Amino acid sequence: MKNHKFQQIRVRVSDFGESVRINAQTDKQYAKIRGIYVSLPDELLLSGALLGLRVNNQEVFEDAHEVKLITSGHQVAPNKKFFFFEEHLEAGGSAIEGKFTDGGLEALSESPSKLELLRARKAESGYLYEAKIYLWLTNE
Amino acid sequence: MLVTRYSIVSLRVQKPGEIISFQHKIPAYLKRCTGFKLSLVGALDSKHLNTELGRLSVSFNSLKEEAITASLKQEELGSQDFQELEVQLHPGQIVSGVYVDTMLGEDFTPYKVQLYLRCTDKEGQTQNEKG
Repeated sequence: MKNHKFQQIRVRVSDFGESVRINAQTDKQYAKIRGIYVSLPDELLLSGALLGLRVNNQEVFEDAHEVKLITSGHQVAPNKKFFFFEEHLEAGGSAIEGKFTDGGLEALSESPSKLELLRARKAESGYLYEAKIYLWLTNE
Repeated sequence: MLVTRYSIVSLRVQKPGEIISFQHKIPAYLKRCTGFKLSLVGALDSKHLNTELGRLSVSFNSLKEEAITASLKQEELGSQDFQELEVQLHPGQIVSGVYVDTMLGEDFTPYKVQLYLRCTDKEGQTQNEKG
């Protein structure tokens, strides 16, 4: 039996400034949520992005919590990227609820080429990008 | 069991030189604040990089303890670590503070600032110190 799992929650963002509700459940085979890491397809998108998080109806992060405070960039080693929870957060099938809010057009105001790229992706696939939330689950 | 919560004070600065005072209540079950972080939400024009945008001072326990004085800068590769704080909270008392914008008038654009207070219900050490 493995002691660690990195559970991924995908959040599809369709518009600039959009807020997307998150509903998920942690894997029942793991006892504890050790940490979190949020991955966005471009670091510019971190600007103004927010993540609220509740585990079993207990607020962990308010909806206004900035994503930049709970993630890290390419300069951080892969095994150091996670934000560790200082308390015991029950996994074992816990209900995860949250709200991801995109930082809006301002985040890309100094990079028109990236803005165009995202708009082209939306025209093709119907959404701008996917944010990936990784929960580090463990039995240790 | 240790509980850590991040209490957020959000401030919107609308005009140059604006002085914003605030009062904030931290839930009574939190006994101690161990860290703080002053953050610019979103980004301003790159001409504001590494310049001071404003200054903040914060008092705890209904003005009995002035524990935070900090300035806000927009930094490209700024650390997201919390600065250390050691304040015992008295139940039911308020956190109050003043933020003063120091951006020059002609360069001013409205912006949003958030103060994060990391507080816990017990004594404890933080693990979140990234390089």
